[in-house]
Amino acid sequence: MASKKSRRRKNSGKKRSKSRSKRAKRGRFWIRRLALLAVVTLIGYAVYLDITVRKKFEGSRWAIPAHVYSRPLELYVGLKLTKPQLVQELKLLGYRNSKNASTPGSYTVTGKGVRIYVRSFDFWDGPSQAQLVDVGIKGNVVNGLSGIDRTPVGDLRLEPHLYGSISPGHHEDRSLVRLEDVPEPLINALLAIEDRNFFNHVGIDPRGLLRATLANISAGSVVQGGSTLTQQLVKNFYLSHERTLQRKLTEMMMAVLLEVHYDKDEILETYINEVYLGQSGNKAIHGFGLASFYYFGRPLNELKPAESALLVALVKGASYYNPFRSPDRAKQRRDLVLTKMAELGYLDDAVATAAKQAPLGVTRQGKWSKSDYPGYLDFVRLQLRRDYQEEDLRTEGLHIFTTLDPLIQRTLERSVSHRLATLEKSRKMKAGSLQAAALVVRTDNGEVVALVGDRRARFIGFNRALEAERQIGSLIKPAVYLAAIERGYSLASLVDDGPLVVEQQGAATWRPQNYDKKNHGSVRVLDALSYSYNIATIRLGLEVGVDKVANLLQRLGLSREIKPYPSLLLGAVNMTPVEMAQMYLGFASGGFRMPLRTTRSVLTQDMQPLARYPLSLEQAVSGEPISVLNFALQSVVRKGTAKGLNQRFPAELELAGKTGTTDRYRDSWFAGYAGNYLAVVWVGRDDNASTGLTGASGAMRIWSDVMAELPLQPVDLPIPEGVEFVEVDQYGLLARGCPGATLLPFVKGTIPQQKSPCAGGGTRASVSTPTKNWIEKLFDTSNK
Amino acid sequence: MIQFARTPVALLVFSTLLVYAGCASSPKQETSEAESVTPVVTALVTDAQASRQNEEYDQAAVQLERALRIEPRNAGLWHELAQVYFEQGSFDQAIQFATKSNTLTKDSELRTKNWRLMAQAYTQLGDSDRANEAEKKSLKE
Repeated sequence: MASKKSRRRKNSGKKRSKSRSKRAKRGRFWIRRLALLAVVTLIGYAVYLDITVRKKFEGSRWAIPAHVYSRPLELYVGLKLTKPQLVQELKLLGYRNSKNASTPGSYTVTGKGVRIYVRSFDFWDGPSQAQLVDVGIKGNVVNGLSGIDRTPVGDLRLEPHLYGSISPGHHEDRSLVRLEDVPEPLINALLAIEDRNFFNHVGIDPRGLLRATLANISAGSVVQGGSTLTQQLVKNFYLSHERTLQRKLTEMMMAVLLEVHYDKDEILETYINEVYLGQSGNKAIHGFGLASFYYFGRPLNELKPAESALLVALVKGASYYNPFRSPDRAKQRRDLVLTKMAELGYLDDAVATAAKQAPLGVTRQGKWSKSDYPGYLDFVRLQLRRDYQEEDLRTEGLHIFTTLDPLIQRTLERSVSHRLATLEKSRKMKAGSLQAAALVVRTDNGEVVALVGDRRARFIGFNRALEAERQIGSLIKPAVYLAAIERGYSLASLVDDGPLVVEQQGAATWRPQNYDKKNHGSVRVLDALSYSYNIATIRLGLEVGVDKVANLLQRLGLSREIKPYPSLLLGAVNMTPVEMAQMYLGFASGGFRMPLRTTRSVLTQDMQPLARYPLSLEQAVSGEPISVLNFALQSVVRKGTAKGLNQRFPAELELAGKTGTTDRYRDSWFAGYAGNYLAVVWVGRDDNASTGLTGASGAMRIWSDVMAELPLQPVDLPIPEGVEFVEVDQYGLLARGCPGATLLPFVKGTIPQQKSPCAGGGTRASVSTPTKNWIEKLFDTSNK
Repeated sequence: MIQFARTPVALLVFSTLLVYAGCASSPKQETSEAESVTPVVTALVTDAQASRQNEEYDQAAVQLERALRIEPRNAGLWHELAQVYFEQGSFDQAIQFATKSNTLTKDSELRTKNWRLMAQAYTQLGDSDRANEAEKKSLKE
């Protein structure tokens, strides 16, 4: 029994130990299970992270806004350009003024002109190499273009100016660079201060962590981060910014995974393009490529070691070390970077010491502000929206080459803001009450070179050049006269400017008045336009037919619906300054309709041609009537409502234009052109109240301020064979050799038949007077 | 190939443009127009002709548009563009550019070429009336 007992006891002891071991076994089993589960979970998580890591890295890594460039300045012998203008362009492009212009992106002013080391650039029609060129300038003309060995250079373009990007409100912006274009000192600086073991670790670097901790302890503050570049990239690229242990572990796993799949160069290149380096308005500056433009106005490969070191200094905190706001802090951090570089042998001590003496070298803030020319950019976007989804413009990193001329754009901005201020002051108006919109267009191809939609050039919002639909007033008149000339009227035809009452069906009786409230009797078509007589214009328009005028406006490229009411003849129709430019371009180009263009071409992110916007044209009006109209528009300047321009411009330019003033001086317009440029200006108030300005005293002042700064060519439209110049008197009679006769162009077949008394014709009494009676019957109008 | 060909072609192009430019525009400006033919324009036209031979029409148009920005009143350049558009099959634009060229020149040789090109383009567009009309005008020049 005892034995049994003991056995039992034994047994029970065995049992106990058995159950204990069973329990332990079961425990181990569970631990193993849990461990397995953990491992599986971890593997699962790792796989998930692995997919995440690769997915984002394989696809397109960033949504990059389209970048928008100006026209390239094209230099050639004979170009009208002054030394200051060339220097202004070079400064805009961030060229450095250095004594011998020894590196791309530098220049020096010489006695004979400017020596430029022009940067390379990939143009639509092929790459252009970096080259050293002497540009000879005498007065306001380029008179020589040669390479260093004095070989003549024919074809030289400076690279276009990157002035804006197309993006939503708050966003990241970056300009991608390839690793091989990153200067070595920048990479060295980055390694020295952020991750000196980068090329040896596997994504995480315990030694680096330890070193950073020790450094921080000895410094008493956080001077080094322990994260590798790979970890930083993972953090920025994939993770939120919370600081938890779990997130830190995830970051480390992902860093290792990233290193498994991709080589060091690729990781480094991505880091260089990803890192946050500053804030410009609502635009976050990412990557060293864009940061270089933002802080120095120059491409990355032109940075000196001290400048590279400054950009690297910003990695730790672009806001805290902001060189504009906190230059001392920024300099301290930059110098620390330089010290580290010297310590690790990346820089000679002497070089590092010298670099520390250098100023920060950042350009005045405003470079790459929201956009340099927001008004112009609105038009670019509007035009591109026809062919691109807004989404693509914001994300695909396209390069858009526009026709903007920054030199003219700045002139226009300055002219608008100065002149409005002057007008307000001299007329005792409240400062800031006037507004304006204006644009400048090339007459030979319809390229818009400058546009302002607000008196504050940097204002983003309502763009009056594109969106302000205002009464155009007398700006319509050339269309009325052109329609008449197309139907056989000549500049010598007489029109009655006597009182007129127009009965309109379903509308109040209309008694149009002249601006001076006077009637001028029978006047020549030429004079009616030159002096902008309203009543004569309405009579003429009614004779021709309002529908013909409306039709002509459409032929000239205005696409909005235009109702052919008689009031159209006095411009009682609302249009934008851009539409007026489209209309007047038809006159300035000799009758050819050319769509206004802001964009020449679009290239993909890697600079492959994607789309081109070619010059296109269509003859809208034949050469004979258009050349006669041009003469009349020149007469507006020569002796008519725009004669004030003669004080400022030489007669040889033979400028053409038209003033416009609407009821109660609500709108002041001027549209006019020289041989090469057309400009349209509107001045008014947003609340549509009176400005007290006529077209000549308001808009025309701005127009002349701008045009006086441009290298103008004379209006010199060809005279077609079907046009003949004949001398006539003030009554429109042939007056060859008569005193006071004027030489006018006539479309053949419209030359007057009757001679003036002085040229051997009958007496004036026997000459028939204009056709006023039948027309009044026809249109149910009567003399008052 | 292009490099070798460039010099003689350039000379030819240059002299042709000189003639065109001399005849362009109104009589007042005749002398200055002739002087304004710049070497860069000649080079661009040469490049454009090479591009045309390689059937790179967009490229040719880009080069000619650049030349036109420098010399917008050079009727010869507008004619070159008309040819590019014709060869590219844009007959409407070929007609328009040839028309524009004609408004800028009184040179009968160039005008004849423009009318012929227009006649061919109208033929391609199936507009035989206008083709005949243009053909007649080409003979009258």
